[in-house]
Amino acid sequence: MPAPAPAKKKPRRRTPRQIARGVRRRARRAAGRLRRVWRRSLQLRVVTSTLVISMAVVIVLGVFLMQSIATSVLKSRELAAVEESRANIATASGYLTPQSSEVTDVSQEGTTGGQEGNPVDAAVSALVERSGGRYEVVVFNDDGIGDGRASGRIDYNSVPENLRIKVQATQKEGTLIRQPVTLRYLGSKKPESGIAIGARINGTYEIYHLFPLGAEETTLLAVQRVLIGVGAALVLLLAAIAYLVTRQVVTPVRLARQAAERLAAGRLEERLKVRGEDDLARLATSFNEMASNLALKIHQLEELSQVQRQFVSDVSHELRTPLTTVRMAADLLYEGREEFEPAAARSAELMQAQLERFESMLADLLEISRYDAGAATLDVESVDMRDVVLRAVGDSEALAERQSTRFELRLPSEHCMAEVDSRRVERILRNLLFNAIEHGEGKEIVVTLGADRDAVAVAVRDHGVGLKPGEENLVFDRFWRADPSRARTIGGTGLGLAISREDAMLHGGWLQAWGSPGEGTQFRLSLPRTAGAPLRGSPLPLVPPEVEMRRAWRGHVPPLPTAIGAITEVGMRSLESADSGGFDAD
Amino acid sequence: MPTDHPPAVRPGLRRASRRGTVMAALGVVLAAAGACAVVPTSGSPRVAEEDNSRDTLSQPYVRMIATKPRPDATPVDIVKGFQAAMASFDDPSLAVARQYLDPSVEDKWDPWRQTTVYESKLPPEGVPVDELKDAKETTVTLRGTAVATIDAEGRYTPASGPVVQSFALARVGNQWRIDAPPDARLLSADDLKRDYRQVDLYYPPATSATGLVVDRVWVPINPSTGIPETLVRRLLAGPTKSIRDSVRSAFPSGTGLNQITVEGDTVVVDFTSEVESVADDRIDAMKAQLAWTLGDLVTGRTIEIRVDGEPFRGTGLRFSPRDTSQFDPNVLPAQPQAYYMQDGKLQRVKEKGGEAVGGAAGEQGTKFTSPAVSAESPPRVAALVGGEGVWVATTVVGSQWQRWIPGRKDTLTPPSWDRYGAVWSAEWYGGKQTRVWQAQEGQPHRVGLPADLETRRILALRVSRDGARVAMIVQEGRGESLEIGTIARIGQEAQIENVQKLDSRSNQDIVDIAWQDAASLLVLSQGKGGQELSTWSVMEGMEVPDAAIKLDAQAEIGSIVGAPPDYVLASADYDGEIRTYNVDKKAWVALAKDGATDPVYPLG
Repeated sequence: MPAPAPAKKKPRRRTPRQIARGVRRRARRAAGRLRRVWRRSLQLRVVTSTLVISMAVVIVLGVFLMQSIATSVLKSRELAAVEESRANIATASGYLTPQSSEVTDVSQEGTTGGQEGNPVDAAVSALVERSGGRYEVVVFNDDGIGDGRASGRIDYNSVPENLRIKVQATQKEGTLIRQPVTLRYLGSKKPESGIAIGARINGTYEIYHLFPLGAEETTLLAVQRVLIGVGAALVLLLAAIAYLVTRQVVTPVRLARQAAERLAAGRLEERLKVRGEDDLARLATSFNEMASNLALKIHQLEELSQVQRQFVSDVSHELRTPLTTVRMAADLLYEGREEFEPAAARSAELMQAQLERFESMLADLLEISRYDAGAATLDVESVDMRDVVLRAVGDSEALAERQSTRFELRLPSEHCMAEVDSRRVERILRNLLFNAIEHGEGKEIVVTLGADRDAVAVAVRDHGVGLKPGEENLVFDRFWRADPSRARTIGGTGLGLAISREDAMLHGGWLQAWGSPGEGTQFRLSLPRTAGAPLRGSPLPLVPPEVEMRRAWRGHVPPLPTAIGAITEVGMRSLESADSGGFDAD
Repeated sequence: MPTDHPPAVRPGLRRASRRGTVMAALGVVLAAAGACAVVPTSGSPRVAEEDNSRDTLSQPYVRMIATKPRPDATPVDIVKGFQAAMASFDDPSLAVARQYLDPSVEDKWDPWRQTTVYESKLPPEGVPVDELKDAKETTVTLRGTAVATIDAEGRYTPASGPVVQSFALARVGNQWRIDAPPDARLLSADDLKRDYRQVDLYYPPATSATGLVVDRVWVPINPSTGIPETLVRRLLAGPTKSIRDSVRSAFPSGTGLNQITVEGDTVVVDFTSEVESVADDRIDAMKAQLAWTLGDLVTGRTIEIRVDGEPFRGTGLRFSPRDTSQFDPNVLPAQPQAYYMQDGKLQRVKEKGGEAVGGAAGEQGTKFTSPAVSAESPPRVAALVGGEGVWVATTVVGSQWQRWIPGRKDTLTPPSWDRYGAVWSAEWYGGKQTRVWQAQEGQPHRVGLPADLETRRILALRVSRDGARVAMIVQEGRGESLEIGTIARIGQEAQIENVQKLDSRSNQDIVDIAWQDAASLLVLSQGKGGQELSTWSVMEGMEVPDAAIKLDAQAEIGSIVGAPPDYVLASADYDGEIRTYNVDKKAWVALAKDGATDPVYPLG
């Protein structure tokens, strides 16, 4: 099977550095995801901070509580231990005092040499008897030999050396020195914690009482366990409370957000459910009021716009009938103009020309009102785009000649078939060409036809004054003109590009403009080859290649960086708008 | 709340009621707080919980701390330090004591073979320090009195005589070290008292009979395990040589002890896995051995035997020490029945006066002397009847005397029962040979004797209540000596072995002996200042201190008997009274008068 083989090979080929990089990448990605979740979830933030703060509080409280409990428990035990040690030391001191003079007379060593009834034995036995196993006793005497005693199973090394030094150095006999120690035992008995209380008596005897605190330790451990358990439960409880509370607040907010998003997406009927009378319910009420007001306003505006469009359409229609009459009258006047005196004849000619323009404007208005009403339909057929382009160019030849403008056609050699409404496409191209001739200042106009698998594009390039930044979209507005002071030489209606754009959108295509002051303008029409297919890209660049190349040549110091930046930005924006337009057309 | 101004018609009343509510709530809170006070002051009565987790088995004891030799110590101090280090049982290898030795002899020193106990009121003597400035070697001498020796298996043997132990010291790197240590562990009597415990080990007899035999040994307390474990380990190590042939431990050989723990009121004894191989009919004996050896440590508790922490044979083995009372080496019940002779009849002691026993012994028909009573129910009586040996009669009405051991009256010793229903008596046969008889159900068997005993006359013979030892008064020169032997049994045959002189003094005038319990013997002797009654620990061969019973200077006691724990009866022949010794009052109290003689307790 081919599938497992690469899976096996893959890890072998990976070097540690690659693995490390992979891990780092994954960690970074996880951190990024976490950060995103953290930034986006109010609930998570609230619960986390509650958790952290309550944990800190519980820990501080718990430590304090534990310490005070431990102190009180151990203190009482220690006091009892000290009391017992004190009593024992008195007893032992009695045993260890040289009792009769005769013993000391015979030999000083006799008392300490362990030869006759060593008093240490008697003393320690008495203490051990009294202890009953509750504590252990260790006796040292550095000056005597064989005077060391230990009781039970205690390891006498449990008495720490520094305690012994301290005890040996005490000025007053019987001063009790205490130290917490670990009690170790001979054999299998486990070490436990305890306290050692030592005292120096009768010269150099050191008596140490070792009190085990195993029971206290067990108690304290149990208390500690309970405290930890309760603390953990408390923290979790607080976190759960924070979760529930924030959930109560966050859920309506989240619902409001989603509703607002839907509202923004145009679903004006979106409303929030109102529960109760609290602040969140009031928020929902206000939101709903806002939404309904908004919907009302939008509806009113839409109606207004509808009325306006209807008005334009009606006006256009209504103007037609009188215009026809005026036209017939004007035609009569025009035909008989030779019989008029020159001034009247000139007026007739002028009226004829302006009537024609009025008619075409009226036609355009009607056309555009059809678009506004959504009544425009496509008459799709498969045509060779080259023919379409040539027909459009042919239509424009006469005007071009008048402006002494030359066309340069860059057409592909093979067929370039596309499913389009050729009438509308021709109209677009005608509009573009007229526009180019009008603004081309008599310079050469380049018409390029490009095609790829999915789309065809026609670019019309002039070398006129060009467009200022920001004008790339304005050109498609109705009745927009670049320089209001400039007269329309050719007599465009000011609706041509707007209609062209509507046509392009109707095809699911884009119509975009590029321009730069002094560099001229380029309009690009991109259409999908198949009617109804979405357009993903254009076979031709929006910015002419020579401009692009020049910019690349100049490297990082272009003469007009702002302009170019604006162009690209505008280009992007126009692309975007064209995109959305394309979807709208769907 | 009181700051509110409620728009009520009667604000004063409303406020008052509200304050009342607050006060009531406060009261409830206080009551609740009072109820959860830290230390409760009231509550319902309940069964108290007991904390049994403490290790109540361990008894407190004191140990010697061994210290290393001090730099520049004098030879005397070195010897004293060595003595102290020898008395420390913390380290089983005696590593600290070895530091006092010359490194060349350190490894050769073997203190395990024997422990010598001495008593000395004087410190070791040595050459004064001033004379030792340039000396290369010196000698320190320890003088004292020998007390005893304890051999490797813990058997205590009293010793006497002076002890003079010389320690040769040499300079090792300018420090004095002992280069000729004694070939024994030297302990003072104090050390012995501190570090050793006298323990009774119990072993079942080699025959399959129910019962236990006491073996008393001295064991050093191992501080790392404590007394109970020391005891059980010693028990598992087996009996001492003297009774090795007459007993057989129920524990399978190789059994070891893991540990002894206390869980509540249960003493858990954890053995190694070998213990599981014990035969089914020996389990009871094993339990009895354990219970009796632990003795007081487990009184009122339950014993559980475990094997490597698991229940014994999967089902567990728990028992109470009371269940093993039929193994009592002393056999007798707590209140043993006493008997005595009066008017030629054997009387049973009653609260007031006596009552003749049933059967032939309770009748005047046949004249008999020196009766002995067995421990059966009903008991049997053995006595010397007429001149024709030892006769036995049961104490049921209508019973007749039966002759068990033939022999002439003045050649047989008074009979003695053992716990297995046999009557023992020694015979001085033909004026030159001693024969000891053991008769069971009328059939006498000869008991094997060591050769040196065969030629000495036995004047009295008493079998101990555990049936494992025999105490004898043996004629020795013009006086008597007290000897103890162990009984080895093979089927019906028995043999007396390991005969040892109990009292090393010779030529005493011993009047009577009687077993107090399985391990101690009452000895009535005639001294210069009158009669003495002492108690001897048979297995240690020494007189039990503080157990001597004071007798009147004029007292002339003919015979004594004892029974555990401290019953003693004596017959004051001169005024025909049986007296019992009251331990609490330390005084003799008359039990029966008017010609009562020959007090008897069953067995012994």
